[in-house]
Amino acid sequence: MKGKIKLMPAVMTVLSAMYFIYVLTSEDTILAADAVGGDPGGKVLPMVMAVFLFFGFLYITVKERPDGEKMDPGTRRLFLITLGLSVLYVLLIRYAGFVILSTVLLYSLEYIYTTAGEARDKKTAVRGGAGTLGITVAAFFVMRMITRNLMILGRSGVLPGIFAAAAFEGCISLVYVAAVTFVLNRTLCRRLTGEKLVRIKQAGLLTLTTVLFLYVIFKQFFSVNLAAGILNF
Amino acid sequence: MSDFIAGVGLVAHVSTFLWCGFGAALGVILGALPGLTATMGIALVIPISYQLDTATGIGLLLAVYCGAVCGASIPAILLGIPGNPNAIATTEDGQLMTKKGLAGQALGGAVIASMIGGLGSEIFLIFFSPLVARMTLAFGPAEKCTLALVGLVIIAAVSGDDLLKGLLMGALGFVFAFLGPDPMSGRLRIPFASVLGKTPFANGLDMTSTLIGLYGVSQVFFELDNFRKPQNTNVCTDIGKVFPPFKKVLSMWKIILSSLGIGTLIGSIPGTGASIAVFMSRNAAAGICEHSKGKLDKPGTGCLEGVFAPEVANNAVTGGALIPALSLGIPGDSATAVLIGALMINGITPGFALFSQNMPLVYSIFITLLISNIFMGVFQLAGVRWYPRILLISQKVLMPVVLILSFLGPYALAGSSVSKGVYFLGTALGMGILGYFMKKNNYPVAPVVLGLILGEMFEEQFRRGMKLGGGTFSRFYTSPICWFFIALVVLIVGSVVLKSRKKEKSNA
Repeated sequence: MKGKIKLMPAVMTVLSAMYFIYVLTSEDTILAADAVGGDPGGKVLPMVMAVFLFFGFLYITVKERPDGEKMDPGTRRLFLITLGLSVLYVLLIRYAGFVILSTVLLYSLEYIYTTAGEARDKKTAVRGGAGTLGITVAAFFVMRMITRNLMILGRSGVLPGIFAAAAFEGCISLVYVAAVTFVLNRTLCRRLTGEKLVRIKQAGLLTLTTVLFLYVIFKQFFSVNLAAGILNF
Repeated sequence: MSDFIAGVGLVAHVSTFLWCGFGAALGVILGALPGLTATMGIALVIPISYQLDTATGIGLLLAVYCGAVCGASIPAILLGIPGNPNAIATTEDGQLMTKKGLAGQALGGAVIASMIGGLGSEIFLIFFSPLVARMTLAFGPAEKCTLALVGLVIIAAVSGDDLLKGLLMGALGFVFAFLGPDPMSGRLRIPFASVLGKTPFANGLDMTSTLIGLYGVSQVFFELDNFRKPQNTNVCTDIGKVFPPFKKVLSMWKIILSSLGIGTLIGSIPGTGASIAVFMSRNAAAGICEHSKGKLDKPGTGCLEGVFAPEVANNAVTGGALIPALSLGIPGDSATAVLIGALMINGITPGFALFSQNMPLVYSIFITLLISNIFMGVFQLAGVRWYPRILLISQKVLMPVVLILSFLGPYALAGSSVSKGVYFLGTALGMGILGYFMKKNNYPVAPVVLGLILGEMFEEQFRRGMKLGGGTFSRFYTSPICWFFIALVVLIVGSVVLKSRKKEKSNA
């Protein structure tokens, strides 16, 4: 039978059957007072949908045959890498924090995607990743120090009151991110020449700018509680 | 009048204008990049819109929607690849104009046409949506339940080539909605309630995480197939003069009016969509040109008429599609389906209640749509010389950023709870993988979204209708409105089945 039926409708048929059994065996959600009034209860529609899904997917499973198109090994590798890194991101974000994990995920995917189908220098890529992570964390640390101290000075009256406003601090952070990107592009990145290093440079710079920019927008402008993780200062 | 003034008051902030401007610019860029769609753009900005005040948040969503529809003409003109199906009819004349060295005029013309279409259709939206909404006063539970079913069937019918797959996806969306607590008794219905009942899953699947997963995360996985293919770098960079001659634009007034009418009308009929409107308006323009005694050029010859007609129509569809979306809660296409979801996440339930209880907000929606259309035009005209560069941005570079944004979105909605954020992230990833397999197997995504949005209302109204009928379907079969909706469902399903059979026969 292997390879003769399409996987997705077959899996969905099984899942629909399982859902039907689950709904059938679960406790009825109907209220005693409503039963008198004619409420059919909270199990009716889920059961109808489960039956429809079961027979619909069963029909497709029987009717459709695989088209023989398979994912090529390179794309499958990219798929599995993306999936693996995404799962790790979800599982580890509360421990490692937004800045570190986003830097690792973004750099890895940028580098792997842009070098898809090319020979990769893994050692240099790992070094580039470590460098990107180090620079991003350092830039983040400096940014937090600057904005935090400016806010304290604003609140204590040493600086004008506007410095105590979160939106103003966000604006300062945006200018800082732009300045860091510009300086790194003009200094460190210019030294990194050669085809392999150019890929790392591009992935690294884009990662740093994106992570810091998103942090400023979501954390400083919208006060979203991005997981601090180990960078809890 | 006081409602209108209150509505103006809701949007009269610098921040509203800034966010509408930002949304329009983002929409234009998203529309311009093949692979990124208006629907995905709306899904990705939902978390930002949620952080803003209601009017500004809706303004941002509408700006992205309008910008993306307009931006799709850029690759259509410069590359010959439409950014989305709405720009298909622009491709032929746009590309021919580019080859003639008139890319600037084609781009400029497309922007002017889009602005005319967007602003023109808004007039219809302002006049007709309150009237349609007033009709819903006669709706009881049975009618509301049948209306939800109509919306779902329409989306299922038009979202893909296979009606059964569309309906199955709609049912799957309903099942996702039914994972939430019972709407009448409040009892938990999530599987493994002893474990999951103590998590955020107790309230069912989070709508935003599901939307972002199905449209954002899945797109990243879907684009992986294209990473090993060579990218088109043959983009025209010398675009020449941008503005088309004013006299030429004026001479096309008949084409503009007919396209505006067609776009608005087609947009306001749920389930039809812009791809039909653009070809109809192009055909109508061809007819007008034939009778113009040589004053106008015929579409298909690389002329401005062939760019203007579809571009007026596809942006007129945006205003038209908002008529049933705002007044009835029925979307015209997948973008408006997500837009309805986004409105509900922002605390707005489309329908008569919105028009009767919150008219200032309705006016603020109209005003932000107006602002968005203006910003869309301004940004696209101002950045016209940059577009060839935008088109050179590789998907390989963009997709990791889309993935991070897709993860950040659900997280942002979790508020101060990190663990809730992790659950939402997991939902987005799970839905992304599901969405990927759905796309690979040609299952439409939009019906799942709409099923999730309408599921709760459908169930609640169904049960209320049954209760009012004393446990029978009497409320359903004695209502002429229900019969009308059922007839509409039969008509839509019938036409789709006939169409697909005709297609099968012609293929054979």
